[in-house]
Amino acid sequence: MTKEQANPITTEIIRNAFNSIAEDMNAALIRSAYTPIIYEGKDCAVALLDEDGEVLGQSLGLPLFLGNLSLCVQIVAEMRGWDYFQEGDVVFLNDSYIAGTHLNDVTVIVPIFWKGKRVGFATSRAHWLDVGAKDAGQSTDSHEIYQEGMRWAPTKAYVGGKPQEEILTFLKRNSRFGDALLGDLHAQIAAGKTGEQRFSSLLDRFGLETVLASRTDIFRQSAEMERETIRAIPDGVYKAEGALDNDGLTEDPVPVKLTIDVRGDRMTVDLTGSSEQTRGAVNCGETQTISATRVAFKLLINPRRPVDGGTFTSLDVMAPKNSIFNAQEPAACSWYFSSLGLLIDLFVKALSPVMPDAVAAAHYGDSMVLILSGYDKTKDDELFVSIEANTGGWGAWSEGDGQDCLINNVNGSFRDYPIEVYEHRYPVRIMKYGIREDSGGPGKHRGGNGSYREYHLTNDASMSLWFERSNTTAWGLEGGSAGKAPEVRVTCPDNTELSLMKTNAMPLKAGTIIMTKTGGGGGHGDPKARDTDHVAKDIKNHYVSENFARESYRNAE
Amino acid sequence: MANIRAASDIGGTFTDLVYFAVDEETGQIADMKAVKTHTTPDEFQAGVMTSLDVAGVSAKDLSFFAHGSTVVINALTERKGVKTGLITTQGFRDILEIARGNRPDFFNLRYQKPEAFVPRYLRREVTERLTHRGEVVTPLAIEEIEPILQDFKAEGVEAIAVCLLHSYANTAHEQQLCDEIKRLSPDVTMVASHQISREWREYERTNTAALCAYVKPIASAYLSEMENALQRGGFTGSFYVMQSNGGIDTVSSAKEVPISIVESGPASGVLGAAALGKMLGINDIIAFDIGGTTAKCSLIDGGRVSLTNQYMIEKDARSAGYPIMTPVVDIVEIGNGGGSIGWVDEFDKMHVGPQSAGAMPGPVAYGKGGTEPTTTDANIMLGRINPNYFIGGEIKADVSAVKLAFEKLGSQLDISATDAARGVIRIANHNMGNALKLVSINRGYDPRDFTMIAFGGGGAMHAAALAQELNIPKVIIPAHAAVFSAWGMLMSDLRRDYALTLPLALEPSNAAQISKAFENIRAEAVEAYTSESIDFEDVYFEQMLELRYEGQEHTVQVLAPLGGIDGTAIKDLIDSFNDAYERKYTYRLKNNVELVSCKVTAFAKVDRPEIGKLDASVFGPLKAAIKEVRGVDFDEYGVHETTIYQREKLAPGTFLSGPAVVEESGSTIVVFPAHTLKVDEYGNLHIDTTGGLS
Repeated sequence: MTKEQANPITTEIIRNAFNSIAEDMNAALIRSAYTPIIYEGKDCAVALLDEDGEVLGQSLGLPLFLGNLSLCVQIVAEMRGWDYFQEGDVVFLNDSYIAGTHLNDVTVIVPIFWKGKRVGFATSRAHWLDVGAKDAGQSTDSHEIYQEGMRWAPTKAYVGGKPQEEILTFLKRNSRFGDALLGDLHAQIAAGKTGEQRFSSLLDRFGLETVLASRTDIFRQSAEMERETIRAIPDGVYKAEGALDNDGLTEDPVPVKLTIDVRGDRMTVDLTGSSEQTRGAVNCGETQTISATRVAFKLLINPRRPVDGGTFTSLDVMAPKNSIFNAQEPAACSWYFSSLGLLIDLFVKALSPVMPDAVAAAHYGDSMVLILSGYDKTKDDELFVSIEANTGGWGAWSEGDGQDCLINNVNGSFRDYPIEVYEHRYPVRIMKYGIREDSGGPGKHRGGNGSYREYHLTNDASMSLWFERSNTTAWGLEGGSAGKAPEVRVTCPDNTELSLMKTNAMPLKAGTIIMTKTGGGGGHGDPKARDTDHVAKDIKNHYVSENFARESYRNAE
Repeated sequence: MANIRAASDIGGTFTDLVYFAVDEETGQIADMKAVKTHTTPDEFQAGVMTSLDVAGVSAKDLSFFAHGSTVVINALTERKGVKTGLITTQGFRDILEIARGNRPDFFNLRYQKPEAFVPRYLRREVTERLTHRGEVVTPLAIEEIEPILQDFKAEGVEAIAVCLLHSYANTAHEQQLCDEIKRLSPDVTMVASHQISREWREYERTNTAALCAYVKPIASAYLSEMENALQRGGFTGSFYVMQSNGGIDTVSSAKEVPISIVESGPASGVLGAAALGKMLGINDIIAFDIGGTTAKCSLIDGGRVSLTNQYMIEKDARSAGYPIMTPVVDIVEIGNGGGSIGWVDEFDKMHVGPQSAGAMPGPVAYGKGGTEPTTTDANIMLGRINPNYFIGGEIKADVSAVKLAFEKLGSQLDISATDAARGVIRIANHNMGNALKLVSINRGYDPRDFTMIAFGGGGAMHAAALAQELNIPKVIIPAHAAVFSAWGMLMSDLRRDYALTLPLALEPSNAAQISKAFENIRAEAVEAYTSESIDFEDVYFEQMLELRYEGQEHTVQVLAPLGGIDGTAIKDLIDSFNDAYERKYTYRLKNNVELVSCKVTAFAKVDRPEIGKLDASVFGPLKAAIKEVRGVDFDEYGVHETTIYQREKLAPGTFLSGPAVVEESGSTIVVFPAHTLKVDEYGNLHIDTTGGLS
């Protein structure tokens, strides 16, 4: 079989193999991970890369990491040279200005050697629960990166197959959850080893030359396909803008502005006009901005085709230096993804006039994070930290209603944490979890509803909150209305009530009740044109109340 | 009453019946026979009775009848269950619809969640609340049930599912609720989650209860009709139903919790592989089944069938699917079978499946109007299947149509028809090989330590090539390969699986509590069996613990001793956990180990005669088994003039070297060059793949 280079059948088999190797790596990572953020939240990604660091196959838990691992390996090679990567090494890094994300996201690189030659990389990224930030887990009020935890340039945890015990001990001692940290590191190494073994056996089977010939063919096909799709979009300049509520420290909105220039078979996304880097932690490194733009791009350009080294070759991203999208030291980056989630929504909005059959109205917009931490009295004052993202409503489109209670665009494989498991782990009782009636934007097709979740503290705890998008709520399209904004209400044991969206490590007493509500998605089309049967069905199922239906839909009874 | 034992398995296309009479003198199986009839989709039981007629077996001569059916999975996938209502804990009626909130199709702005089986207006809440340890926080407000039942009645609800938060830890509130529903509406169909599962995760358990209620009236009616049909024929023997866990159970138990038979067909094939392995003294097996539309595989470790409690239906890369939390044989299934279609997509990539030509129009070779080439057609194109002995000679294959179809496929990629056919088989083999890796290499098993048992219509055709690719040294094609699932049921004991979530540190101080939990489950199992007149003496157990490192999520199963568990046993369990963990995940840690759940499998022996050996002296010489010599294309191993044998005429002890093809009705066994084949004393074919091909 080795004689037939780039035979279409062989190429197809090799292409499938690249993707299944990535899936196997991802399965190994998720199964052996320690932190719920990885195994339920799926805040992770893996990629199998070729010797130049280009993507052969990838498997994402978090769409936001699209193509990012490839960029990381290439940046490290630029810094240290390709020969930095030796057989048996395990390299890790989390520097926000290299990887682009917050310090909790740790990238692990395992170079793959076959017959003594470096032939590729098995890489992964996962969110580590605690990397020694000033508050347990993550802070919402950090204003320089040094408050957000340990920051690692590319560092070897293993050299030539030997663990660097001093480094591992250092890591363990600087995290509030040192055992879990080492567990997660090992899970990432296990993913790397899986990739190494599977890629080597693919090379044993087909030989390096055939595999490389197929790779080149696959990349070429992807690049061609992409150019073709972009050519079909009318040339022009498309714009959209919005704003985050604030940066977590001030009350000032943080503008995000995007200009898409489509010319022939190339697309340029320019973020000029977006906010300067902020004091609060909504900044990110350029690498992650490129990844997020790729997510947006992928939503509209050949979403069904797997990503490889030929994808995104016709996309350019311009993120001005010192802006929130290309932040420089010492900008704080802990909540980097809020700006990026908005960027993705705005990209879709900008192109909606020319791609009506591909787009949808906006979704609820952000991860809506609640962090509870403290010392559990029922477990000898053991430290606990729970971090949860919340589902919300998605946007309607030309043919259908938006979905209720679905995770946001920067997340994907995320699964909410089962209450029955949660209550074993944390001294908190969840008393309600449901669909938030009337929160979806009215339209001929209705925006999806957000969710609500009610927590009763059975132990003192401190609460951090990161809820966003109350100013730029999920907009409608084609005459559809916007979805409702999120809300959080805290009721203290003495019955004082407060409403808030962001806070850092607020001390709360046992007996406090926290009600979180996420926003709805935007509607699509004129609400008055909504089918009366659909309105009636929504009322019967209490997705929409009778009053709200009367206000929003002419045809309501 | 003659002593005939029979098993019937209803598949999508065929209904298989396997039966044998027991020789009263020797106590051995006298004569095992199999009948294949076409499935009658609307009246399964009529089809079963027809197959008994065709076999000439009277229901009154049956002492044992086991039955596997797709009735539950069909009702689910075709949405033909009943209008179902759901009752949950106050505050949680939306659990069923929110599901887990995940969005597996990342780059789809228009992703749609799988729709809940119970609409929101039929999901009702009752005031009550337990803690995670099962303590009552808020007592059950029993008076709230009556108005809910009235509403359900007014809405035409035909079945009710009940799932309360933390009911795995304490079933009392669910029990009280059920008692009250029974008191108020004695005739209503009802399922409570604890009847199916005592494991945590509220969405998964709620969905399982809802799906079970949704199909329960359909499944009960079906099983009752089946019982009646048998009784009308004079049946007085024992009637058993094949379950998803790889064992059979009484019909009354299946009617109560029909979701337990959701995957009965595939499970019985795996069970058959385990049973055959036991007969031949082989304990480490990869069971591999290729049917018309899918290929399925499962790993048997040390004779034990692997089960999963994370079974999903309708899940794929684009959809989150629906979880069913009931023990199901851990099978990896892919959309590649004999009828899978080879096609080229808009990116010029060739694929095989998951679309299938099905029974109608079927592969191109059927000549019933199919124009898209299938895996079966590729095997004809390459001379592996005999066009003149297609489906046992029922049809003469339309070879020119097959050629034409591959020319068309090949032209899309600028390759010849033969290369297109080879391509279809390579891709199909690659896909199947991936599935085989998923159950073996990816779980830390070395395929070299395993024997593949291949069955189903297409198993024997692809098995040897795949085994070689994965370095599996031996393939066995069983004597009843085409009806192996039904054969498996005849070899089965009664089996019930119990699991209890019990999060505890695995340390000597907790030994007594773990011991007690096992004891309680065993007692519950014995009570259930004996209440159905099953002899206490026949019940035997297997115990497992689901363990993990403290703080981790995924568990590793470890076999637990059957006697009491003491401090020493705990230490041994920690050691076996570390070993098993390392095998699975390549590393071990020094961290504490945590128990998640206790699992007990309660078997009840069914008495079973031995299978007799074949008498070599009644067979003719090998020459008499030769049908013809024809050119067969072995792809990268060349085109060879190949001797074709008839399986029925191969005497036990026969030894052949490849290249060779062995044909039997409904199946073709391909022996590659440098592979060898041996017929054992029961008529099973053993292919040795270690002949050093490269």
